[in-house]
Amino acid sequence: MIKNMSLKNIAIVLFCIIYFFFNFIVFSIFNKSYVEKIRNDFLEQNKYSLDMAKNYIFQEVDNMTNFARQIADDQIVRYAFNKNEYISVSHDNIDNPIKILPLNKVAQVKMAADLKNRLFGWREGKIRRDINFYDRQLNRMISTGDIIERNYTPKYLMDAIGRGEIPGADLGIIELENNEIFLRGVVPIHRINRMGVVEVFENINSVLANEIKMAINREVIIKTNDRIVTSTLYSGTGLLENYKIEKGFITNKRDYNIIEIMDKNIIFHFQPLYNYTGEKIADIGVGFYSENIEKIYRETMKKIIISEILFSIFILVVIYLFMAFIFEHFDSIVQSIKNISEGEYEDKINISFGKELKILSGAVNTLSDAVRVRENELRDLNITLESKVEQRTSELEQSNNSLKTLLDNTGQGILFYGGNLLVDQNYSSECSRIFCKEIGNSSIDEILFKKERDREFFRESSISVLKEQNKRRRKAYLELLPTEIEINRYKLKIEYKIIEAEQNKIMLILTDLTEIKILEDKIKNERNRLDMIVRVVTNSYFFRKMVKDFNILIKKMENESKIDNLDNLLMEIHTFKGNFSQLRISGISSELNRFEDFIQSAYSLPKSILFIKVVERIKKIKEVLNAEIETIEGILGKNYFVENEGYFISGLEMDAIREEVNKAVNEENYAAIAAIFDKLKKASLAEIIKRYESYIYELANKKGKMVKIEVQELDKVYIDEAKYSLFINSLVHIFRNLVDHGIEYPEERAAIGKKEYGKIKCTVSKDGNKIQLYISDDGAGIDYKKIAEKGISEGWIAKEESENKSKLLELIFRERFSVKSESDEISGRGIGLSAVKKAVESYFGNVEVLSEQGKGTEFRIVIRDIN
Amino acid sequence: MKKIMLVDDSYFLRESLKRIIPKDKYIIVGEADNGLEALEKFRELLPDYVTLDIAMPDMDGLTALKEMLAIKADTKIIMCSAMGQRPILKEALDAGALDFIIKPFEESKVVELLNEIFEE
Repeated sequence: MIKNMSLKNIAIVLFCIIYFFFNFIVFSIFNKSYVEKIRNDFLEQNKYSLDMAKNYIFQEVDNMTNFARQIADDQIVRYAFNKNEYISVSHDNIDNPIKILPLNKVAQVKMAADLKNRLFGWREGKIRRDINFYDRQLNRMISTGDIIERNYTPKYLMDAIGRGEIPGADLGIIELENNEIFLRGVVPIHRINRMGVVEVFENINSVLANEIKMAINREVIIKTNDRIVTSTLYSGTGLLENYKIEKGFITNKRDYNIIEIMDKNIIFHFQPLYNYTGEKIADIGVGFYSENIEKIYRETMKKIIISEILFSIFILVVIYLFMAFIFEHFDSIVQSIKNISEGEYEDKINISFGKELKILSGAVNTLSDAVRVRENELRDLNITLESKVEQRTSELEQSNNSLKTLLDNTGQGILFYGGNLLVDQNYSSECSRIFCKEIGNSSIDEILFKKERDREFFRESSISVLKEQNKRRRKAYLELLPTEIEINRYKLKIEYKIIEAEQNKIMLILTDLTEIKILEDKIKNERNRLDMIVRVVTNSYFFRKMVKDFNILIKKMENESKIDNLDNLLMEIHTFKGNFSQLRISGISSELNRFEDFIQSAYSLPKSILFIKVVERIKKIKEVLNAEIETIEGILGKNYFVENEGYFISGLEMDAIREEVNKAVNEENYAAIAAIFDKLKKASLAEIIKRYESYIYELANKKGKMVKIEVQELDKVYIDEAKYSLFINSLVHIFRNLVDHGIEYPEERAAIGKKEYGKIKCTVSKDGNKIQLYISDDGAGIDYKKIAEKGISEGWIAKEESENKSKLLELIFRERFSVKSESDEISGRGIGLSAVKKAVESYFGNVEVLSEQGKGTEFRIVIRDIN
Repeated sequence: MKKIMLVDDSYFLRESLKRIIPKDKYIIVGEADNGLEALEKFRELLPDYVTLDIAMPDMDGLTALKEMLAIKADTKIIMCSAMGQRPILKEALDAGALDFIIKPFEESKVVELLNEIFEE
């Protein structure tokens, strides 16, 4: 707070502090001597009165002494200089001080009374002016006239005589002579002196009272040997007050003393009083109340203080005005500086007072000029700079434009971004097309990706690329960035390059693959179609048969009553689906897949509704089938189904021919012909199996597995395809199963020491009238645990049976048994193996499964030769 | 000649690598098929180079990578991963791996990589 105070105020405060402090010291020193001085002055003033008093006393004492001598000479009063002489005094009129009169009794008494008064009054504590004082006894004596000559010492005399204090006072004899009372006594000299002094005092009193009427509260004291003898107080009003001092203390031994009288401190200035012979009688002092001095002192001090204060105020005002004056100029300097800071340089300060202020104001003026000059310089420089900047900017724009032109001509989307992940303003126009907006200054991760996870990965990887010093690691990071992306339905290839300019940047090159992709898809579709055609051609018999059988199925389905057994229906559809897909007729197999889904969910529907829906779907299926056939016919010709390189003869017709031949030809020849007929009608089982090869390879490929298929023909087995069609068609399920569940992924196989290629072996053999087909793999074998789990969860087996392998193996042939949670076009519906079992059983055969975990599975199918 | 150690839980893969590693540049000082074994051998052999599979039992490749670099920080480690493991690869690079190869790999590319790394 002190730091922010105005200098003026600080100066004033400092000044006040110093000033008063200084005064305080001076005053303390001054105080004492001043008081003393006042007193001394006072005493000096009153010394006059003291001297006067002294003089009077001496004078009067002298007078009295002379007078006393005179009286002594008159024989009435004997005045002696030593205390052993006596003197008798008489007078008859109290008002008339010491007068020599003839003594008469009354007068003597009176005188005695008076004498006593005067003499001893002070001893009694008060001075009485009792002129009517009588000793009663004496009065009686006088009044009765019964004066006897006797030694009667009145009491007062006895007092006078007998008291120890008055040595040698001896006044005792009252003599009556001729009716006159003679009073003889002795009065010691000092008493006389005292008496005289009292008298003188009275005179002094009156004198002094008259002369020093104006004195206030003065007192004159006579003291001997430090004892007060008498005192008289004078009051300012002129009234005389006599009072006795009860006690007085001499408090110090200097010229003056402070005596406490009646609770008042009185300062006395004493001087010794000597009698005629130079003998000191007493000290005489003039005293005055110290109160007076105090009062005067106080009053004087008051005056001093008041004048000091006034003086101080005056000084302060002067200082304040002076400072105000200085700081006024100060203000003008401040104002000038403010002007400079605001850009006004014209007003110059002109201060005429004070060296320091002048210097300061001069400096400020110089500053003002200097700043103006600098400002102008700056302005010029700024103009130059701006024109340079303009020039550079236009140069930059030009080069940017060239760059842009370059970029735009590449036909690719090219953009740059740096560590802040914002796209640079220079990018090719292709980018605007791809992103459907201007992307300058956008965040690269936001425009490329929608998911926060992808954005984060892109951001972090980009930053790692830019920060990485090691070239190899940088390249590795770069490889992590995605190379394909779809934006606004454009399929794009992304390439990255690192630009090492002053700051590292990444160049992104986007190439639109959409066209290419469309082309690729087209090619793929074409290829598939071709594939389909090829297969249809190579398996033309199979194909035509399949179509025929399928049409029969459709017809069946159109008959409501045949939809009773949905399970059977499902199985048949499933099988057809597999077979169509084997021939690459994907349209129909997908449609059938959808149909399968529908049926699986349709179990709960009431028959009427079910039938309606089935009819709808059949319609669709027929459409699809027809479309496929059209496609095929489109390539192979409308009459493909009719015309062929070969003849199409139905089995019935064949049988008919055979009969005829049999009739026509004799038995030996017939055998050879019969064999040919047989051959025509039949196919070798091994060949049939081989047909599955490409399908299986395809399947495996799709799954990412590698297989090798081996068909081993131990015996030549020919079967009538037509008769065994159900069986043959169902084999697809086994192969699917093996590929799906059995064969492991190449890495897995490699990890356990197997060759990456899973081997599927099909062995065809004959035993009597039994045809044996063993299909095995060297895969993972059946997962008994999974089967057990599924079995328990579905309630097909009890928990105790979970270790029973044979029981578990039975389960896999159950309808709707599948350990897969999802079904797809290939498997998972739980239909396949049950279809196999059914098929096999319809040929009075059976299927056995052997499996060892980790080693493989073998399906052993035995069917009867029904030729 | 630099020391290299092969770590992968696939025997097949290790064999493949063994076949293609340039013998004039690298000596194969050890193999391991899980992370823990790899670390033990690493401490013993202190190879200059390591090929390190990501998915392994007992200790995965990323942890093994960090442990190895903690033991010898200038080891050059190449991660092997199956497809689709980009985030883990990035983590590995962040942690100090030098490069990566994706399985199944092209032999010629791996040979090229190993030759280049040897020079650096």
